[in-house]
Amino acid sequence: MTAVVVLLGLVVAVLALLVVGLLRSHAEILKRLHQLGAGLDPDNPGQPASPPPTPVTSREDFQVMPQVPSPPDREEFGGAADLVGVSPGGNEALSVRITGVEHDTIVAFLSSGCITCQKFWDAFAKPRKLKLPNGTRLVIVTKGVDGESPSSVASLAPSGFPTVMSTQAFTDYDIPGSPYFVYVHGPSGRVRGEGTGPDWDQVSSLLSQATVDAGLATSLEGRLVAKPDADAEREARIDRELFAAGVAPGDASLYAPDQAQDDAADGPPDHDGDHTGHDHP
Amino acid sequence: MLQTARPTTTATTPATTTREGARQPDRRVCQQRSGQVRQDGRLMKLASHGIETDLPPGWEGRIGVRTQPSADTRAIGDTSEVPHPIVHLANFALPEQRGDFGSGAVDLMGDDDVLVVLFEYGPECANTALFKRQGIPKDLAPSMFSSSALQRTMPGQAGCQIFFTEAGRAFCSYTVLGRQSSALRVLPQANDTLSRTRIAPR
Repeated sequence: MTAVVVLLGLVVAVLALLVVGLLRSHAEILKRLHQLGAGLDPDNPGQPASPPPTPVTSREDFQVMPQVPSPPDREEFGGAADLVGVSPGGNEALSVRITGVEHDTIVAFLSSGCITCQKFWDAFAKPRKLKLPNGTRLVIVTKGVDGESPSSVASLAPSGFPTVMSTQAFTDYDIPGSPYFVYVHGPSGRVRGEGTGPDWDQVSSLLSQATVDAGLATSLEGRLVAKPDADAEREARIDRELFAAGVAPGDASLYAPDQAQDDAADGPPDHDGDHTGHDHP
Repeated sequence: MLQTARPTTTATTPATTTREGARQPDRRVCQQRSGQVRQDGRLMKLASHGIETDLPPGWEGRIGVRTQPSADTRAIGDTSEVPHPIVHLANFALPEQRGDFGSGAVDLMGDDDVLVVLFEYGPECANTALFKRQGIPKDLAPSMFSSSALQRTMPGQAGCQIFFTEAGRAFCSYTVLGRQSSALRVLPQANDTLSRTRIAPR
C-alpha cells in the first residue's frame, strides 16, 4: 500500500513538473509575441492591435555583391539619350541613335579596369552566345578619354558591337558604376529596365523579365483600350458613310422588313398627324 | 572591319592611329584626333577630321579613318597607301563590320533605308577633271539613281555616285537606297542630312 502511495506521489510530481514547464513555455511565447507587437491594442481594448509596419530596407542597408555597384539613389528609371562619342581607337567619331528608332537597345556601361566587367567583355566577344532578344541592339559605353585608357578599351572592345567612349553618357543615364545595363525601348525612347549583375546570364535574365513585363503591359493596354476605341471609330465611320449615301437616322432601310412592316402598321414614330405635303398609302 | 578595294592615294598626310594595329594612341593624341562631339537636342552633332554634320532624328553616323594597312594589321590594302577620312551616315543602325563603301551595311538595309558615304581622296585629286564639281551634292533626285551604280549589286537597291571638291578636298559622295522605288520618300531625308554636313579645309 505504501509503495502504491509513493508511486502515485511520484507520478503526480512528474505531471506537475510537466504542467509547470508547459506554462513557462506558454508564457515565454506570449512574451515574445508581445515584444513583436501582437496582442490586444491597449488603447482600444477588445480590438486586435494593428500589425506592425513592414520593415523597409533603406538604400544604406541594401547589400549587393562587392563586385557590382549599388543601385542609384532614385525611385524611377533614369533618362535615355542618344550616344555621341569616340571609338576606342580614337580615330573615329561615332553617334548611335537610341531613341526614336524601331529597335530596342541594351546599353552596357563597362570599364576596362573592373574585374566583373571582364566577364562581360569576354561574353560580348562571342555574339552568338549572347542570345539577345530579337530586334535588340547591344551598344557598349565606357567613359571618355578623360576617364579611360583608349588603348585598354580598344584591346577589349568586341568587333561586332559599337563601343562608344563617352563620359557624358554616364551622366545622361545616371549610372552608379560599372558594370551597369540599361534597356531602352526604341520607339518611345523610354527606359524599360536597368540593373546589373555578376555575369551576362543574370543580366540577360533581368532584361528579359523587363521586356516580357513591358510587352505584357502593352498587350493588356491594347486589349482594354483599343477595342472600345475601335468600336466607336467603326460606328462613327458607318454613320458618316450612311449619311453620305443619303441614309439619315430613322430611315426605313435601316430596319429589317418585318420590323419595317410592324412599324408601318403601328404608324411612323413621332408622327404628329400632320398629313400636309404627303399622302399615306 | 571589312575593307573594299579603292584607288591608292599618294597623299602625304600624317599617318593615322589604328584600331587594331600596333600603334595605339595615347590619350593626348586621342583628344586631338577625336574631334568635337556633342549632343544638341534631337540633332546629333558629329565632328571629326574637319568634317562636321548635324544628324537629324533617326540618323546616326561615323566619321573616321580606317586602319592603315601594314604587316602588323589585318586591314586589307596597299601598305603604301594613306587612308583618308570616310563618313558613313544612315537612317538605320550601322553595323560595325562595314566596308568603305558600305558593304556589310547595305546587306541590312530595308526599303526605307538610305546610306550616305563621303569618301575622301588624296589632295592631289582636288579640282581635277573628275572632281571638278564644287560643293557637297545636296539635291539628289530619283533619276540620278541606278542599280548599275552600286558598288555591290543588291536586288531592289539603287546607288548614286558623285565626285566633288569642297574646301580644297576631293570627295566621292556615294548614296545607296534600300529600294529604288522609295526614292521620292527617302531622298528628302538624305538631302537634308547632306545639307547639314560641312567640310573644312585641311
